[in-house]
Amino acid sequence: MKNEINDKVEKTLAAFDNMERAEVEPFFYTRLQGRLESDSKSIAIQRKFAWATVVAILILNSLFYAFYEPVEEINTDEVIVQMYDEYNIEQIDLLEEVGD
Amino acid sequence: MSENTSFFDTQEAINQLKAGDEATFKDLVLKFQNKVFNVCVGMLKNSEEAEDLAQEVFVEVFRNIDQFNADAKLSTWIYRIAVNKSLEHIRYNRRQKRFAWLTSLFGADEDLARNYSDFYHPGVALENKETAKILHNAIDKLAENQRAAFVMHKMEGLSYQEVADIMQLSLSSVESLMHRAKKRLRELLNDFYKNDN
Repeated sequence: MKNEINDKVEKTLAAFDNMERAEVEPFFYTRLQGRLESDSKSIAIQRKFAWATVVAILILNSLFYAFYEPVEEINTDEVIVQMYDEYNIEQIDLLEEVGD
Repeated sequence: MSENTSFFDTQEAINQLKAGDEATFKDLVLKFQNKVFNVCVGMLKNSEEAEDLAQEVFVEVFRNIDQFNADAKLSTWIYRIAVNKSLEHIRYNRRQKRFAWLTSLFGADEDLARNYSDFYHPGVALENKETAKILHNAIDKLAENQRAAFVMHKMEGLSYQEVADIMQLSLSSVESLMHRAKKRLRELLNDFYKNDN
């Protein structure tokens, strides 16, 4: 039984002895040429798309800077004074009140 | 099966390829197409995928010939690309299989869970087809580097030194890899025939 299995194992291990090399289907090179051409086209399209994206980003950036209007700076002191006037708030000197 | 590929190991051939000479590239493809395909089909056990991968190998050769370092033989470099691409493809298939149950829930293509156990290598003699299928299924269970070394040596007929150059290992490492591969295959085949009886 053991010898029988060993024989089978050795026979199986020798299954690749003297085997022939597998061969590609005919016109392999023609198909390869087609693939190289389609790959080149898709690479060219990808490059064009990448350049178009870069140009679009640059145009958007330049448009943004061209039409950018900075917001006027707010003078906070003036606003506070205006608020005091508007709401009739009198300045309270806390130290003065404590002194009293 | 290891043949003389001397012209393509000369600087002249490499220069012509780097210059984009189409006739030289065509000669190179015709010279190596079956060798590359044989390695790919041995690793993948699927003729269609192997041919697709063989095309990818030559596309990479065409695109990256400028990066070829003349320290190694051109044939070694091409075999190396073929082995690496085959291993990448096997890993990809394994990942696909792992997630096949998940994708099947969403009605994805059953092709994702491909089963290659019925593959017959076209180069195997008719009387050895059944045993070759059993051996192929056992080879699937080997570690990646053992599998690559075994396929290149047994199916493509490369010497241990050639396998060592392709895998960028020392000769003794390849000898050790092959020893362990054969030992593991014996174990696997023993189990298979014990369960079969």
